[in-house]
Formats: sequence, C-alpha cells, structure tokens
Amino acid sequence: MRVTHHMLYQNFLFHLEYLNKHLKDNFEKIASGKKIIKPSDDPFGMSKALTYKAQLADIEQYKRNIQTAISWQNATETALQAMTNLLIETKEIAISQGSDTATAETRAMLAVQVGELKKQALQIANTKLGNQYIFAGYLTDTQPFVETDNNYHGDEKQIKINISPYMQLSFNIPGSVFTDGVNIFQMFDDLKTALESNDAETIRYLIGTIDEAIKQITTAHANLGSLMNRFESVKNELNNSYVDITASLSETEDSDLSKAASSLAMYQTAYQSTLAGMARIMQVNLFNYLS
Amino acid sequence: MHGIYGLIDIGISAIRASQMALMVTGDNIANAENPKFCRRQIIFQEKPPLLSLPLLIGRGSEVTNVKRAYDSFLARQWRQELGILGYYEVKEETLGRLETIFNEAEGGLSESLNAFWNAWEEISADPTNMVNRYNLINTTKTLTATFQRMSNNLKELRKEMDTEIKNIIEEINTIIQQIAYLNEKIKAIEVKGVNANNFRDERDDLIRKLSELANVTAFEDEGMMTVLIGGVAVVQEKNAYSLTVETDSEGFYHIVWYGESGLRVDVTDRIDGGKLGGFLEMRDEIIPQYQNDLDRLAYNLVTEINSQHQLGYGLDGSTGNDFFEPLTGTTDAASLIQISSIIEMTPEAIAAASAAGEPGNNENALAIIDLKEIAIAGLDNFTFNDFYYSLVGAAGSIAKDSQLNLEYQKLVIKEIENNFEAVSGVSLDEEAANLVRFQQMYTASARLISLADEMMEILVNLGA
Repeated sequence: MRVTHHMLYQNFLFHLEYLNKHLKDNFEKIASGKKIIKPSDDPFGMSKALTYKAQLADIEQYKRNIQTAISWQNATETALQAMTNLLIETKEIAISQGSDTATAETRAMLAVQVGELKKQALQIANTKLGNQYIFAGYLTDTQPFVETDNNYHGDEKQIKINISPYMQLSFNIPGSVFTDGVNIFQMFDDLKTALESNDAETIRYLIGTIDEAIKQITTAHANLGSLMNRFESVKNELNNSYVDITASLSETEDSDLSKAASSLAMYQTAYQSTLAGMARIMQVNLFNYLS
Repeated sequence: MHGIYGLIDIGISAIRASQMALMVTGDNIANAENPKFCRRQIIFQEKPPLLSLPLLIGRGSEVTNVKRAYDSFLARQWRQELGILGYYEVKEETLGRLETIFNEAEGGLSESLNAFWNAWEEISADPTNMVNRYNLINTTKTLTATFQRMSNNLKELRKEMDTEIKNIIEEINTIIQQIAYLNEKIKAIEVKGVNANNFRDERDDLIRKLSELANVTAFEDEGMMTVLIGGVAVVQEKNAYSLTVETDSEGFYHIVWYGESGLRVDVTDRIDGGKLGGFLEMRDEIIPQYQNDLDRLAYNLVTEINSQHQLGYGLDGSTGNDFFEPLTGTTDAASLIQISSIIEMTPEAIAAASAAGEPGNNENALAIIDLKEIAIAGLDNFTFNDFYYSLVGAAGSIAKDSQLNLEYQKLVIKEIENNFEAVSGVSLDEEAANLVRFQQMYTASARLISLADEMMEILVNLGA
C-alpha cells in the first residue's frame, strides 16, 4: 500500500480527535464526580439510578409520615398518662371518702373537687394537636366530649398512613376508649352525686369501677406503646434501607475516581506520544536529502 | 529518418517528454494537499518507426495523455459509506439533543413526579392542614410545567429537523446544477480524446458531497454522470432536475421531484440515507414516537388521578371534582395538562376524604397514592414511574447506539479514505524521486543532441 503524507496527516487528526474525546470524557467523570452525565452514558444505569432516587424520596416521605404519626402518638400517650393519674387521684378520694371516718362535710367538700377532676378529664379527652382533636376518629374538627352529656361525639375510624411501599398503620385512638366499658365521665358524675348525698355504699362500689377504668386506660396505653414500637422499628428499617439504596445509587452513578484518573493518565500519555511521533514524521521527506 | 538527424529528432522528443513529465510532477507536488486532487500519471508512448525502412527503430517518445490515478470501485464504495456517515452524523447529533430533553441527571420529570406523589402523602398525613394543600397545588403546577416544557422542546426539535430538511434540499439543488454543468464540460473536452482530469476531480468531489446529504446512486455513461436520489434522476446528461419542498397539512415539508413534462413524484418516503435520511427519520418517526409516549403518560396520569379524585370529598364537602382539567385524548396531552381551576382556586376541594364531613378522613388520598404502584393499562402495564424511566432509558440507548455507529462508521470512512489515498494520493517522496528521474531523462536527452552535434562535426570536418 502506498502511504502518503496526506494520509499520515489525516490519520494523525483522526487519532487526535479520538484521544481528545476520551480525555474529555474522563475529565468530565472526574470533575463532575458522576459517571452517568447523560442517559446515553449508561441507559440501563440511568433508569436504575432514577428508581433508586425515587425510592430515596419515598423513604424520606415515609419518615416524615412516621414523624407525624409519632408526634400524634406522643400527644395521645401524654393524654392517656394524665388520664390514668387523674383516675388514681379519684380512686384515692373514693377510698378515703368510702371509709367510715369520712363525714358528710368532707364528702361535700371533695364532691367539688371531683367536679373539677371531671373537667380536667374532659380537657384531656379533648386534647388537640394543631387544630385537630386527637380522640375524635375522622371527625377531627368535632369536639369529642362536652360537659352537657357524657357521650362520645367522634367516630371509630382509624387514621392510616403509609409507612413503607406496602405497609399502612393507623396511629390514632378513638375517644370511645374513655366511654366504652366504663364511661369515665359518667363515673365522675356518679361519684360526685354519691359524695354529695353522703352515700358511702355507692362510693365504695365505685372504687371497683375506677379500678376497671384504670385498667381500661392502661390497656389502651400498652397497645399504643406496642404500636409506637412498630413505628420506631419501621423507621429504623427505613434508615437502614436508605443507607443501602444510597450506596447502590452511588455505585450506579458515581465515578470510580481512581479508575477515571488512571484512564485519564493513560490517554494523556497516548496523546503526548501521538503529538511527538507526528512532529517527527512531518519533518522528513526525500527533499531533505536531495541537494 | 535514420542517421544523425533521426538522433536529433529523438533527442528533441525526449526533451519535450521529460519537460512535460516535470510539469506533471510539479503539478502533483503543488496539489499534494488538495483534497479533491487525484495524482496525475504521465503516459509515455514510443513514436512509431517508419515502416518504409528495413529496421523498425522507434523515433523517440511522446506524451499521449495524462491520466488520473483513480479506482472507480473505491470511489463508489466511498460514496456509499459517506451516505451512512452522513446519516449517523445527523442521528448522533440530534439524538444527543433528544436525550438532553430526557436528561434526568439534574432533576426533571421524575423529580417532579416524586414530589407530586409525596405532596399527596403529606396530605394523607394531615388532610386538614392547608399548608399541605397549597403545597400539593404548587407541586402539581411544577409537574404540569415540566410536562409542557418537555413537550415544547420536542416540538421545537421536530420543527428544526424540518428546517434542516429544507436547507439540505437547497444544498442538493446547488450541487446537482454544478454536476450537470460539469457533465457538459467533460463531454466537450473528452470528445477530443483528452482526459478532463480537473473537471473530473471537481465532479467526484461534488458527488461525494451529495452522497453525504442523501442516498445517491450515480453511474457514468459516455463521460456523463447520471445521478439518482430516491429513484428519480436529478442529473441526466447536461440537465439537472431540482427537488422542491411542499408543505403538507401538518405544516411539514414534503420533498417533491418534477421531471420532464410536469411529471411529479413525492420522494419523501424514498429517502432513507445520508443526512437527509437522518433528518427525515428523526422528524417522521423518532421524535413523534417520544412525543406520543410523553402524551400518553400525561393523559393517563390525568385520567387515572381524575377518576379517583372524583370519588372523594373535599374539606368543604364538595365531591365529583376533577383534579386536573380533563383531556379529551392523548393528542398533545403533555402540553395541555393543567391543574383544575376549581382545585387551584379552592384547595379545600382537594378530595382527600372518602366521605363528607370527616376532615381527618384520608382514605381517598391514600387511594390516589396507591395509583403510583399500579400497572396502568394505557401505559403498556407499566407504573407511571417505570413507564417514564423506560422512556429515559430508551432515549439514552438509541443515542448511545448512534454514537457507537458513528464511531464505527468514522473508522470505515478512514479505511476507505486511506485506500483511496493509497491509489490517488500524492506522495512527496515519490514525486521527489520523479523529479530526479525526469531531470536525468532531460539531461540524457540533451546529451543525445550534443552527441549528434559532435557526430555532425566529425562528419563535416572529414575532408579538412
């Protein structure tokens, strides 16, 4: 094959363009820290990266959802604890005033206090988070308990929330927990009436009712506790998978810097030798040697 | 004539021939870097002896022709591969721009979609919170704006392809006029038995340029090139038949050829090679396909969300509302997608609840979020996210294919150019050697004449 200078020059340009393109690609990988800069760099990796990113965005959202649920549950827990304390205090009053040492005067005095305790109990059962009643089921804008009757005005609905792609959990306790079984507000009324009418018999009977009420609230409290544990454990799982998915995402789209740097160095060497070689070849032809 | 005069004649013919050979060598050297130029070869021929004499000794040499070093098979191959090169050059460049529209490395539709679903999650976590409702409205507006931007970019790209097509047709018309003109020139010169080398170089170059623009068939007949594009003759003998563009009902250009006596052929669908073929494929097949997929995504999102949203109840007790403005079909859905004006004006109407009067009820919001994981029949049973990811993947992989194909084709072209150059290229070393050869031929020829002169002198001085 005849080889001409023009051919050498054209091949030189061709190789130079090729090397320049690879230098640019490797430099971009290093400078951006990414090996997928546009979809064609790795079409499959790109859609994988998008899936990972969507999963990460989901997890962040689930964690926010869990946070909402947990703050709701914290408020619920505080309320239940306060209600239990209130009942214990009421029980002490019932025990002391059920005994024969109590007099009509002490009973009349404490009847007033029981009335106050009922008001506190109503306040607790009407606890609000933001502008929502937490013991009202779906009817979060309806005050679940009023002083005039002792009925529950909310509903039994469980508010559910997404906490993982395929898991929903409810986080609220309907206010019927205060009225189903023992109606706590009715119990306060009964106790107050018994104290006012100096009815030691009924007062003593109500001690058992208060015990049942305490049991009723603590059971609900325990259930809430185990539910909160589930939220916490899902949150930990989400944190773990967040780390895993971030690692996979990084592996898919981040540059292997040492690899990119060594390949950059390789192309740089090739580039320099090509230039040096061409500089030599271009200098000589037969005319140099003809006198 | 034999004898001393014969010797002088031979010397003179050789001097002439060597001078001519030096001129050809000089011309080769002068054009060594001219890309159109094919190396010239000098054809020496012996001057025939006079048959009337007993011994047949030639009467010197003469240059009968100057030929181009040229391989017509390689030239044809080169033209063919240039067509493929032009095609992939266009595809690589334009698919690169298409994938930029779908480039999700720096945010884009996938991020907007994620934000949209997450805004619904926020509503489900606290349906009464107005901040969450305003957030959903704003997120939805970002989503629809992203759809609209992408749809617009695709439309603009398609329109640009159309403009390029018109430009190429103009370029083709200029070239075919020149080819027809050169056909006439070459014919006129070669009738006299001389090669019209420079005109042929010129014409070859034009046909190569033309081959890069469209798939061209060219063949030579009595020195004249007939050139076919899409099966119709655009150059025949000394006549050029221009292509014209005519706008169709959609506002896009069709390529039409008019032959003798008003014969009209629409060649748009017959051109599948060269840059023109690349632009046509992008305009008529690839971009519309991506437009359609994006429209389908928008349309199905609108209809699926709307039909679930209609079932729910807003904080204000309203029901049966659309969330997006309803669309009549997939046509242009990605640019028509818009949040319903009712929702935009009254965020309370966002139907998070499954029943009226239950502000804490989030069941319809949860049902809408469920749509995210559901295989949608109108999207080939992909989820919204997966359908879009596969769209991005597909845009990336055709762009990658075109890059690889272009890289390969450049190698092919380089090989063919090298082969062609090996035949037709000027080697300065060779020409340097030729200079020496022909100079020596000149010296020797002159020596022949001076020898004849000496012989003549001897003869003249015989009697003295």
